Amino acid sequence: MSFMEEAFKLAEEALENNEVPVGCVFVHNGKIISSGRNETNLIKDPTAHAEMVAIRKMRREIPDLKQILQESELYVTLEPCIMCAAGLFELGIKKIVYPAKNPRFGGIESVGSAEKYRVENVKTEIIYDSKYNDRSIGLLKDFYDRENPFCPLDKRKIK
Amino acid sequence: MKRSGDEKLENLDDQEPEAKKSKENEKSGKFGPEMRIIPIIDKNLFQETVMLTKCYVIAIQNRKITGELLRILPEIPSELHHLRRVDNKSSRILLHPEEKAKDDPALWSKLKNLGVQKEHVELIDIPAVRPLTRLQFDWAKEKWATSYPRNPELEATINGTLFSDQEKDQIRKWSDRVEQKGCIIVQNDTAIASSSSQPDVVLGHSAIETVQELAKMEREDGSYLATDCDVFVDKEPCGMCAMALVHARAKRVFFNKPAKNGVLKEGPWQLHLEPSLNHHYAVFHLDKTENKNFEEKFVCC
Ligand SMILES: [Zn+2]
Ligand SMILES: [Zn+2]
Repeated sequence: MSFMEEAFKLAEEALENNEVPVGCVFVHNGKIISSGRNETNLIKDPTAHAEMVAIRKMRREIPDLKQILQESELYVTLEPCIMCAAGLFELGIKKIVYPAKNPRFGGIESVGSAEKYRVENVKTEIIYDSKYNDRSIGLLKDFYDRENPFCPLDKRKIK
Repeated sequence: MKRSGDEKLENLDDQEPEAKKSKENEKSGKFGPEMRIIPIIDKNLFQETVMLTKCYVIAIQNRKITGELLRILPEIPSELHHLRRVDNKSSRILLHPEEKAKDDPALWSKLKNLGVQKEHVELIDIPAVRPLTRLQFDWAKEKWATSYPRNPELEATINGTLFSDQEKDQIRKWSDRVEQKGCIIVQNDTAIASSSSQPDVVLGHSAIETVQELAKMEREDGSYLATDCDVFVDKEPCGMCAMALVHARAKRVFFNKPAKNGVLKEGPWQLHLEPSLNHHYAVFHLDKTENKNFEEKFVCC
């Protein structure tokens, strides 16, 4: 199964638990070293986005994490928000792959960018993989339809 | 860089004579340099004027025909909806913006029937946008009658009268305390969460860590967000921390020291002024230094 498929499995798990459906996996030398999905409602923490959840798991388990992350790739089902993206740029993660842009909070290119965060010498490679675009948007739509069936998708907040 | 707002704030601090000031400081336990509370708001709000655009207007010769004129004149385009149709002070009525054709024969025959002559028409400068502040409004209304959104809190922010002396003392206290701590979240002058920077922890910046601390606290109102809270940080927050405070719905953010990777100070992009975000907090720089060139020394961590 592809790494993006793995990330989507977590996003679907988030949806089943009434969380904003975003999931991610961190990959090092071809192996998944951590994964996470949005759990802001579960642990009542507004920063518990998929990427932060996955990084916080590694903090406990991986010594020398900074070095490992600089050699790692992130597969995430939606463009990381400004908070997560700024953190990932600071860490200098090797590669970020995502299939859908986030026009309200997107921190890679949609709203924020490494330049806006004044992060110097950014080496992160960004891959926009549109193959999974419909699936990503479809999940978000399912989530927001449940929340409020009358609100048009582009008016809603996406975490 | 000096803006009109800064000046007013400085003046406020300078009102007291030196002797009295030092006595006050002793009383409230304040030592060290004066602190300026600098609001970081949209630069345009400090402007004293607004942009102008050209528009044709008719000088009303006979007030009795004003009603008739209002019925037959073309609609004003939506971007000029802040303007009143009639400027009572000068007894003139808006005809249309310059770029629209001046000669509409059908309209002119109606106007002539009402006694309007071409020499009653004039091309003048009118406010192109809605004034945002009282100062801009007072300037703009001399050009043409216009509306503006009254916002007492914004006016007080610009005039440096937003905080009472008691509030200033409280802000000073938290500003001094956060120098040792990194980040403190304050509700009703009580610290409800805090965290220091943890250099050994990946992304363990004090502000985002404090938002997580706050989430863990058992609070009476059951809330886990920073709604209605003031957030004090020693260093200006980076993109990650500043956005974590948006996710936490902070009300106001106060920082002591501008940071190299900070995203709130005046610059090409200021996160709290980004229109696409769904929450916006107010930001203040608590400046206790004389030295303006310390920006590069600090980082949000
Ligand atoms: Zn995020
Ligand atoms: Zn930070």
